[in-house]
Amino acid sequence: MSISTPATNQTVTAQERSFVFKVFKSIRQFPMLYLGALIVLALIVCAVFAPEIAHYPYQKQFMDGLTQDGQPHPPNAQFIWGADEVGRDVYSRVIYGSRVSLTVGVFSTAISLLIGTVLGLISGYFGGFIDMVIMRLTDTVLAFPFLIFCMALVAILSPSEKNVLFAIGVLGWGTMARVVRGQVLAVKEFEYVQAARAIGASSWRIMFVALLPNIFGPVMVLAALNVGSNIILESGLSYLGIGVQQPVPSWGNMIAEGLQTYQFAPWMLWAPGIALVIAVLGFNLLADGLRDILDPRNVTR
Amino acid sequence: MSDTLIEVRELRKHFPIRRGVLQRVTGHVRAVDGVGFRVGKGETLGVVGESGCGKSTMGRSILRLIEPTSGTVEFQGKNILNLSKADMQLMRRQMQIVFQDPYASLNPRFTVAKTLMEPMIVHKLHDKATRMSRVKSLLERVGLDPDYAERFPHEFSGGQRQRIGIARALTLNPKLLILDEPVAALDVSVQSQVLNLLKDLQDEFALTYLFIAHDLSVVRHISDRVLVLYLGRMAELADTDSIFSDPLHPYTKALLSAVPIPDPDVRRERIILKGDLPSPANPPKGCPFHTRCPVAAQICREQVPEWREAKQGHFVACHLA
Amino acid sequence: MSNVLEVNHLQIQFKIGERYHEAVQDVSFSIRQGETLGLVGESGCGKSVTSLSIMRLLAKGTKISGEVKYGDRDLLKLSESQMRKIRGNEIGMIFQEPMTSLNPVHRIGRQIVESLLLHRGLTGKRAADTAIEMLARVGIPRPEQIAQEYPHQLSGGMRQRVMIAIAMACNPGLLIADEPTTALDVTIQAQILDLMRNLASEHRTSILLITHDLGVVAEMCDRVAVMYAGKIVEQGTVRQIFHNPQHPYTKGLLNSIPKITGERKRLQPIEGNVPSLRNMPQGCRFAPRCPHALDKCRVSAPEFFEIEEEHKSQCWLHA
Repeated sequence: MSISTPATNQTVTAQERSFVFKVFKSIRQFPMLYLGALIVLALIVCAVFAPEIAHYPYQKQFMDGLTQDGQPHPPNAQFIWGADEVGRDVYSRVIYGSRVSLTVGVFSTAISLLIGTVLGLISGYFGGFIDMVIMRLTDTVLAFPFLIFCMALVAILSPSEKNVLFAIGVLGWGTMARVVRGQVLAVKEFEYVQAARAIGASSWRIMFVALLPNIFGPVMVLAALNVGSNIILESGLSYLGIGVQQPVPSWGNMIAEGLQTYQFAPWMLWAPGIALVIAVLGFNLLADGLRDILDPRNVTR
Repeated sequence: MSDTLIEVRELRKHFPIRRGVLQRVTGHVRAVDGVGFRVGKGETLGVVGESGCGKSTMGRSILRLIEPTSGTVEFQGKNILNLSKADMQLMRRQMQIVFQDPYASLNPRFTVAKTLMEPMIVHKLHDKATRMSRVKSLLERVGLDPDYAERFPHEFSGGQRQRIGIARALTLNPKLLILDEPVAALDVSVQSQVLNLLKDLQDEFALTYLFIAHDLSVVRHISDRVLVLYLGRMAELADTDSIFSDPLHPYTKALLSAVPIPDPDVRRERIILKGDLPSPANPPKGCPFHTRCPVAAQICREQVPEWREAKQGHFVACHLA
Repeated sequence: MSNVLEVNHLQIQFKIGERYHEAVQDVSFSIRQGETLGLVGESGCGKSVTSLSIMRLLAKGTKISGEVKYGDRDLLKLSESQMRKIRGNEIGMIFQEPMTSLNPVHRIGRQIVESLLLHRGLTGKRAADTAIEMLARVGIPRPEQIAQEYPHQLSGGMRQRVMIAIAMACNPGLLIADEPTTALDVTIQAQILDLMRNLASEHRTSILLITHDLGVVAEMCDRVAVMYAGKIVEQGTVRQIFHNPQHPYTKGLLNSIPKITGERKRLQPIEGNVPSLRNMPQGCRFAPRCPHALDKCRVSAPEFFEIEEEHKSQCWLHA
């Protein structure tokens, strides 16, 4: 994961050359990055292999999931994180819930990234009137009460995972566009951009071939942060009942249920809540770590 | 002299100054203010002047990297300032630029090979294999190991990067190179390597150079004729030997006398100019140089001096010369 | 004449990654009272690092050894608070970029007063008057007005004059000028060099002039030390260096620069590139670029050979 600069004609000792040593050194240098990456990786594994990792299907109700008096069963050997009020295994539902969180987080970010990058590039590169129009549009999007607008949009489109993802993505590109534009403004003053014009490259080519790779770093950092906050947003929408619908589990709708039963079955709240915190933390650590290694001042030669 | 390759007439570039909330245009920076000259095929015209004299803006205006305000630039008899976008793109094959800063002028995310192939890709020239072999031969020609093709700019020293910049400018086989302070950022010992390389390339490919620099010794070394700019206007133009041995304009004289000579026993009469360069947003009336001129007379404060041929091939804009 | 500054066996090591690299190796020179010594070399040769180490301005974690004697004190052994009394008071310094070395949010006058207050205990009206007097002395027109202005309102040349005024405010015994005119135009450079020369001779200030411009050296300096890759390769009076250069690097430098007078002929460059800190050649550090290199040069580093009085060169060819 570490970005190392290929050194020319450097004398390297055998010890340094060994891969294990390099990895060890890199982990020591960027511990948070690796922790973040580990969490994200674990999340991906959970989502992809949910059927294998979960103990039971998420919708399966168990008779013994409820106690004698019909309360959710506390954690035991069968239900390691307890059961919910209709007798489903909380552990399995948390594992399946990672699918929703990851899908919504990643794909909504991809949508914002696409819209934000294209608009930001155009705005920053052309400047003038085009810049003004795009930036006012960005201001407008950023000024919307985000949650309320998402609610409205999802209400129109009918609540579903796909629509939540779409709503978050389509409304979340404002910051992305601003960051990209800012980067473009800084980078386009470099003479290599003029050199590209001098050889006759078209504006589109300059934007996407010459400029884009040079602003990639900060954009990736922002994207990683964005995944984290979009996971929270999805949970929020599901919590409000306009996100993913039962019986499909999402951490948001599980938390909503858990709140109602908190008094007598706190595990129903704790399990998805902690999962959510860890997932968001993972993406934030990853973003922080990326910022460190993508910052040219931190490149150790 | 040989055939004219490029002729510039009355070139102007005025940048608007905007002020206030309404961004009203309150004036103009006259970066380039009525410059005209011609450069013959295979010739090197040196352009000198201090910072703010408009030499870089002029170079970029000629290539339309900055759109000039008015004037004409005729390349082989064709005014390029009114070419369409597509025609201009074709024209760019003929004229290229080398920049001052070898660190900023190469895309840090492109390998050398990508940097050099880009012009060929843009102009849809050659197939992939031919492009690569051209990259290698160009690298070799500018004195770099062709095996370096897959490396990134940060792995090279300043001088090596400038060689890459020159190779990029040569990829399309241009006729004219605008060299914008190509050696100013380089170490003394590397400067001469690059200057020699430029001379050799000029002979080999029959290139025409517009060599923009502030270093008079460098300009003297490489140029056939020299144009002196002051505040966006032409002060003097003549062949190199006449300008350096018999300068007519008081500004040229002061400029020459200010250059430190690397010989402790040479002590010259030094003309030390008083004061700073006036702002090009608000140039002095009359002759732009009169505020610092040691010999300025009344007429200099009132009338703009005419551009005239004082001697055969030696032009000057001064009332008193 | 007595030595104002004496640098003996200065050694500076930077930490890059895990290892220390020698940026300056065994550098010794001295500056006499009222004399200007030129420290010449290309980027990365260690000339600026040397000057910063004299002022003890290098970042923490840099290993410095050797001796920097100013008068009878070794600057490398002084405490930080003793050092602060020397900086700006007994040794003044001016840098290449006058914009970044002035504080953009304070008026010019205040920045000079600051130094007067710190070192000479001047306050109020007296300090302000002295500041204006200083500005006048460095040839700034309308000094009362300029004292009220901010750095960005001044041109590059004016800012460098202000820097000189600050550096000279306490009448230092030594002025370190690190590429003082590199960022300036030739006509302005001429003004500033003229000013430095006059001030120095008026106050008998010694100058350590760091530059890459051989023309400036020839014009300003009494003696010259040529640095290459962290070492002084040749030292002598300005005439010895320019008229009778001994080290192949000095010769190469003088041959490679285009001249403003005389015949225009093909330049004779020094081939190759300056070695990087992490990749210093064995033996003589100039050997890989040297046209006269012997087998010996690639193995062991030469010591100084005395050419004549004051003139010495570090090259095996003299052996």
